[in-house]
Amino acid sequence: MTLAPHSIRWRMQLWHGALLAIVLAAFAITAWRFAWADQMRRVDAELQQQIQTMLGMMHNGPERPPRRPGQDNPFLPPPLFDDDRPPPPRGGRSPEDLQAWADVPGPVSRFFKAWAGPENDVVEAGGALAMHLERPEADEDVDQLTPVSRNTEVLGRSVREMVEFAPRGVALIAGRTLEPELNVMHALAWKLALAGGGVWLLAFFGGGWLTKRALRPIKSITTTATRISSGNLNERINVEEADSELGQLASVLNDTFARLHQSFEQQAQFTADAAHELRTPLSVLLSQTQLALSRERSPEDYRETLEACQRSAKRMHALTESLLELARLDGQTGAPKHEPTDLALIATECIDHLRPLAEAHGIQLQSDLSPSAVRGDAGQLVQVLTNVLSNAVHHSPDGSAIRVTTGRQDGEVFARVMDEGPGIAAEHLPHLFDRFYRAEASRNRNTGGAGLGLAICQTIAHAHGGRMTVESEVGKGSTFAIVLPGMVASA
Amino acid sequence: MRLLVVEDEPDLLNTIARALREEGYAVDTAEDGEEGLFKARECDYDAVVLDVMLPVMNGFDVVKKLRETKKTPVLMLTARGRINDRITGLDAGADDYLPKPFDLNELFARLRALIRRSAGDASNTITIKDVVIDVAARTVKQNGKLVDLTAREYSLLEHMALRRGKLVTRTELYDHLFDENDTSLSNLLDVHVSNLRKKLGHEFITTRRGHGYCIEA
Repeated sequence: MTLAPHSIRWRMQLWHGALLAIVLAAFAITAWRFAWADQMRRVDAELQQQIQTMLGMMHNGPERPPRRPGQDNPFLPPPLFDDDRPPPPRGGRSPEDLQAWADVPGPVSRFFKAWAGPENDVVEAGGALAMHLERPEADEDVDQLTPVSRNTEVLGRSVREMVEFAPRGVALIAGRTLEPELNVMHALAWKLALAGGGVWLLAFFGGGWLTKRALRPIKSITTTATRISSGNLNERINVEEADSELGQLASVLNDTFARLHQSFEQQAQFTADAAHELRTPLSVLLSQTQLALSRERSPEDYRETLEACQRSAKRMHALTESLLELARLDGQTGAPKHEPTDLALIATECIDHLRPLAEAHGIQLQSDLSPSAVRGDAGQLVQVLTNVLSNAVHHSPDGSAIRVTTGRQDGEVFARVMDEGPGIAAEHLPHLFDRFYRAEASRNRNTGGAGLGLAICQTIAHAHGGRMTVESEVGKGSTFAIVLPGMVASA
Repeated sequence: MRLLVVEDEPDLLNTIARALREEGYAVDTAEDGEEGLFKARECDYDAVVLDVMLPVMNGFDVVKKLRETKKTPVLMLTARGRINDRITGLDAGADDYLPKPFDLNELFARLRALIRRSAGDASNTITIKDVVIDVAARTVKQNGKLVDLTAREYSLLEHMALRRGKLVTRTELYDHLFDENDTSLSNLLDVHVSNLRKKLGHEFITTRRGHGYCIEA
């Protein structure tokens, strides 16, 4: 397993980890802050109560009877207190109660202090920390009649205090230290950190495992592709999940490799066949000359040698011409020439061309040509028909007839050559147009060329969007035809 | 020495046959696999030169079928240079393999080696008493002095020397010295034997009356 910084897996892992860390941290901080706010609300409620008590004591005095409802009178000066406020609690109104609040034993220190009058006399004070308190300055911008609480430090201890100002220079402060709350929050912070860290680790490695699993096909594809690029074209990627995205990719790649392999094989086969075809005449040339030169020979011997050499050279010439022709056709990009022409005219030309050869063998060339307009390269089409027709002439017994017909059928045009030759066995028919295929496994000069003629015809027919067809029956003769798409009448 | 050459390209067949005849072999020819197999089964050739790509029956099949009955050494000739073809040929029962195009001298040398090995000899020279036969150079020396022999006489001597100590029948000799086109009469054999005796000494070849000849080892 590679975890180089540039690997997709490592990058996904990093992003995933970082994102998860941010989410978890945000969650933990929010949770912590909520908990802290809740704690402070509870402290504030306690402080508020103390301040209420203090206020109640200062205004009503311990002796003053409680206000009765319905006492309010619009003509009286407004009361000191906003009536919305809850009335000060009835119990705990004595200074002893105030002190008792501050003196509760435990780790928490509570304190309170109240100032009043123009000289800021301390009216009430309690708790160990009270002596360190200064009178808070009223802030003009804030509604001073509502209590304000804040966190501060007194003597290095975290403290929550609540300040309230009242008319006539009254200032009240109540506060307490926050040890238990801080402890709870501290513990909560630890718990959150531990839980968050645990979740992060789980998700990080779980995610890593998932990523690794998801990317495993890529690794397999890479390994296979590497083996293929190093020359082993037989390799295929093992497609386990054909439906997943990577499975589809693997299938596509496999198809590509298969086609690549096939075309390599074809190319190799073609080259081997071509080399093979050249080797036989070369062997003749080499051995003939070697034999002739091994000692003095008679002029007749030399003549014989030269004739054999000439035959071989002609064969090689024909072969190289065919190979070049095929290479030219294979390299021809796009469609061949697109001139309007007529298969009937082409057939006439071919028949005229081959008539002397046919007559030399007493073979009769019959024709039944009806106009068959077609678009294409007339030169190449002549080549096809000449090839098929000369094959027919070569294979026909002396005195037989060859029939050439052209015409239209089902929107296609055709040129057909029918001979009365020996016919071709059914097993050869499917391969007849393959390059270098010969019905007889012989390269005897009597049976013709290198097996490229019909392959060239096929290539030309395909380039014209058509095809070559053959029907044959042993002993009765063969029918070769080129079928091309007919010219649209309006064109 | 009588050889069979099976090759479908007429020019090549003629060349090989001519060259081998000039080397002193009796050569039969066949133009397709079936004819080749038939001849190879009919006659005890000293070696067969066999092309792979043949009409009717390919060379591999010819060797396979021939091996059912005969051990005749077979040298395969082929234009297919692929390793697999060589392996197929050798596994089918061929004894050697020569890719086309080949050098005639290499063909001769390989044939000599094949014939020598099939006779059980590892060396190119055969020594019998005071006579030394060099199969590669086709020369015969007696007491260090070159003995002048005609091609036929040499072939006769070589054939019997390769089978020294064994009886060689007249038919066998006739089969190995003359090819299918040879119309020479069988009494020519006696002439060649008598000439050899004149050149190498009368006792060199013993006659087993009614059976044939023998060179004692």
